[in-house]
Amino acid sequence: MTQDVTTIDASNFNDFMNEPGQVKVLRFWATWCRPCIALEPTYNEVATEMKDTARFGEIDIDIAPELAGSFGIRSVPTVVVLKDGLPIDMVVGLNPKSQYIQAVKAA
Amino acid sequence: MHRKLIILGSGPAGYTAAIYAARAGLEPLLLTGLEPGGQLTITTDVENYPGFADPIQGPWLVEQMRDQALRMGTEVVTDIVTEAQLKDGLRLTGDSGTVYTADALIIATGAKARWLGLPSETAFQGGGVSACATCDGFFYRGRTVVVVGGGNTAVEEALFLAGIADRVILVHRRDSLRAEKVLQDRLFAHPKIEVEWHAEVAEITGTDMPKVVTGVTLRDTRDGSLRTLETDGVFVAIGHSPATELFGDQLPLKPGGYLQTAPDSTATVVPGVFAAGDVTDDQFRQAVTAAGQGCMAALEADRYLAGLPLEIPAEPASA
Repeated sequence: MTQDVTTIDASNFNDFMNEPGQVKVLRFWATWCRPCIALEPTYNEVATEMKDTARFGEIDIDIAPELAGSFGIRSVPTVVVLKDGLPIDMVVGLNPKSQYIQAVKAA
Repeated sequence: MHRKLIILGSGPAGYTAAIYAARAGLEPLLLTGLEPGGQLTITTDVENYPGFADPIQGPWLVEQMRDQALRMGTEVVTDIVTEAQLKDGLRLTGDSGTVYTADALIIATGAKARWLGLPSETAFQGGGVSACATCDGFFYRGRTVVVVGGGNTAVEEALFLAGIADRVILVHRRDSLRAEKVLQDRLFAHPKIEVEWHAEVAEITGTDMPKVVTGVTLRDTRDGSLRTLETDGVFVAIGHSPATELFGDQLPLKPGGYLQTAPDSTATVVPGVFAAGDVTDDQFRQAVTAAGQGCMAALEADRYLAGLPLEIPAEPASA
């Protein structure tokens, strides 16, 4: 956990989306999903390195299944990149750090 | 960064090599790769790893191996090697940008889940196509899922998913399964699981916005006829391919793409480079055999670094 990643559930999702900044990034994960746990340190590093470019959040699908549902998540881990509130890219599975950096940069 | 011995991979082969190499005083550096812990981390019950009378969890087993390797003095670094050069010294480049050099290398990069290779399969990844039941089973409570394959992984995934989904359909190209008998018995006895024999997936179908799977088209492997099935998800469990993409043009491969080693040895044709586990094993592919090969690789690397003779395999006539 790092202060550069906000823990999001239904109660603060709108606040997060209304925070300043065009680009938002969400990591959907679950405690039982090992690739999700493997991705966490990588995602946190990306969030720290790119905190001036985008705002980063994470959503535990057990705690906020309705958010996973509204984004059409069917696989974890999935990282969703949003621009101006709209999803523009979805990175599914466990991938090298460079791939996440590239997806955020492209937004 | 230079080390006497670098080990690539963090499954049973890599960690066992690390435990033996660390105890031999080689101060090994282990690079975990993309999936720390390897394939064991996405399995559930492990019932055939000796030393445990009751079933254990795959992730727990590999964590124990990691802790044991760390306690012996292994340095474990989370990095993914993106480039490897085995000529004129051993040189690896990581996704982090770090360049690693070594006097000896143990390749224990394991294997990656194999996909069907259909364009529709790629299109629906993240929208109902998965290769990890323990990760994505959650999304199929009360739904119908198809599992493709006939080996242990396919049957284990079908049994796992049957605990969540309403209906599980195992699709297999032949008329019998390769899975262990104990697993087959559980599969055939399960009221929620049915098997589509002599069938392969010709196409995965679904909606476009959002990209969500709604069905599969199956091709009969005997007469080529097509039929459709409604399903909410497709779990692909048709085996694994050895992760040799870093070395394929530098080391000879066996049929199936596995790294070639000398008989009864882990030595490759490049002196000081050894291979262990699923990246080289086209026969057994078990956690326990991978661990055994990891041990062999460490002992052979120790001999090599001490300047003692080793058997190096001849180049195969046709690789």
